[in-house]
Amino acid sequence: MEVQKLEIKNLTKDFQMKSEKIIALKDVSYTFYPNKLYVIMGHSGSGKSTLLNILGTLNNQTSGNYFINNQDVSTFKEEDLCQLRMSCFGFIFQDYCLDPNLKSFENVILPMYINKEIKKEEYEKRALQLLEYVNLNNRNEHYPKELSGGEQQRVAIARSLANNPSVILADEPTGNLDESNEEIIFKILRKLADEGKCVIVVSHNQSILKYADTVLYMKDGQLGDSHE
Amino acid sequence: MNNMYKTSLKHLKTKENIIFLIITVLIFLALYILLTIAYFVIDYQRDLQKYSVDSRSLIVYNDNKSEQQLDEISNISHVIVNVSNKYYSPFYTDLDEFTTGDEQGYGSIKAMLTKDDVKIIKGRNVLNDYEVVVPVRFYPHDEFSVEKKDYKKNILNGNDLIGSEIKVRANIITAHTARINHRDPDYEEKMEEIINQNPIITFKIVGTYDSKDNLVEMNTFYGTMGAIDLLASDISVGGYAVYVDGTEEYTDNYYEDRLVRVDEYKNYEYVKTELAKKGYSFSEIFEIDKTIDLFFYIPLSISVVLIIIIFALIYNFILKKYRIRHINIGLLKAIGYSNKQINKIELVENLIITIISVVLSFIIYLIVYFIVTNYFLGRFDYFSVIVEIPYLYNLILVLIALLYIIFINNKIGKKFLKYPISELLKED
Repeated sequence: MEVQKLEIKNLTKDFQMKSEKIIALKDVSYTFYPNKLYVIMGHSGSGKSTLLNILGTLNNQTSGNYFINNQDVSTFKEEDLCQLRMSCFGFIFQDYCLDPNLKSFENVILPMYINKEIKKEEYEKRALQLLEYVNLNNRNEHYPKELSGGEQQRVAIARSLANNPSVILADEPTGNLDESNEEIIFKILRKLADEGKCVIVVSHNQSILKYADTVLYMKDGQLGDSHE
Repeated sequence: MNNMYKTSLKHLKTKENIIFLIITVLIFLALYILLTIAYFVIDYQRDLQKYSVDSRSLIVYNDNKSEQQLDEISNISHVIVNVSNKYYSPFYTDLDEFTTGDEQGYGSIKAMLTKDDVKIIKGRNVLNDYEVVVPVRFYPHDEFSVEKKDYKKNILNGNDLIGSEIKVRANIITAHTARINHRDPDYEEKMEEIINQNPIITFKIVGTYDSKDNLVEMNTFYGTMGAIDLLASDISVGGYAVYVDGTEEYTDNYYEDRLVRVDEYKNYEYVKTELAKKGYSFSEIFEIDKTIDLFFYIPLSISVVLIIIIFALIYNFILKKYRIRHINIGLLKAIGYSNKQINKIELVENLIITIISVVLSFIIYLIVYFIVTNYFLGRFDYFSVIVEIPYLYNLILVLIALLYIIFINNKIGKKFLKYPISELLKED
């Protein structure tokens, strides 16, 4: 499914922590489109990651609506959500989340196993193409522990592209990387947006601003002004 | 194989799996051994009841009853043998034909009391008093020789002996019947002279039977009651005393009691009750020692404890794996794997580990079984007692373990996979 629009309306999310209720998102509304790189910035605890998790259906909102291509996500069944995550979303995490027991190309293949549209014979070829895309084709037989942080994150990006999703969600993708690797990652994300994907990045890093189409600022769970 | 399960195989070599494998191999090995001991006891008791004629035989005492009165025992239902108790004891004899360099040939001849006493494997059953049948696995020495490590090499094939003969010296004339004073300075010489006066009887080996069918020693021949009459005196205990004043006293006891056998073990109590009602006194020849039950209940109790331990281990192992791998599980969910698919991946991995554990432990068990039965249980072998592998019970144990894994994996998986994906992805 091609995602043409991600729309959130009056989204609220709160968490119950022992006797205290934490309001992570307050009445957030926005629409995301493909072919753009969005950066969500804000202090720690401002609700950026919570917003990203809801966009990726990794968590549910407490109230409000979330529409994908004008369809209300709250009406989706569990199997629909799995299908959505498999075919429409690609995730990139701060800690890479690679399986330490799988080689690089095996980590990239992991999402393909459940995609019936990709034939078994194509797995390896596709994985190698994706690793080449992120300039990592000479490290496909290595395990994550044998790779640097930047290399691991590139493997994670390749994995996120395994099923050709139309939305990329990246939560602090350069949080554990040095400056040179940051630039490499940001360039890849920029390239993905130019190729038509909707790329949404949560980041503290000011360096990404020059790559962003739109910057959204979050404070205390609310979305402030956006800047193009 | 579904490609998804390749990840299960890739996860097999993790540290937690290896630790679990080692522990479960040891526990399964212990369980196999304990079940074998418990099963052996039950099986042995069952075999005794079924195959051992002694377990359903009685000595009924004379108590000044007439021969006719003793003959009337045959009228009790389920009594199939009612003969002189002379035919209860085997006739022990040297067997010079089987004497080797350092071992005296030795065996015993038992009387067949019914035509069903032996099942012939090769050759035929005896037709006269000068014929015997021999065990197909024949070890013509006494039990103490089984302490020798290589005794198995000296076990003969009884089938090869069909047609050959053994010469057995009777002991009809004994020191007591010959009335030799044991204080006589020439006692030894006179004894030898007496022994040599006993006739030598030649028996022909005409067939073979399996000593395991009768639970008898591996050196037991079977012949007729007539054969025993040729060999053994009618005096059960001979007494000859010479007093200081020169008077002599003979106290010869003849076989006056009866050997009674019941058709089946289940009718044993009935016959005993009937004998008691009719006023006969008797004693059981062989009572299955109840202390043997300890060798059933103790291993069984330990097995139950070990089974509880292994189930607790499996539960904790699966729970711990889900906890350790929560990020990986969160990732799988984030990239679109369903709860069912994730559960299956974990389940396949856990089942493979357990199957490896079961197979490995069984291989070790077989090695231990082979070593113990071949090198340490010679005495068991000699008495035709078999220690069998309880395949069925081992299989039941394994199936229960595998079913339990499926159940627990689903239960824990369901509980774990209810967490929001973002929670699963959080670092500890």
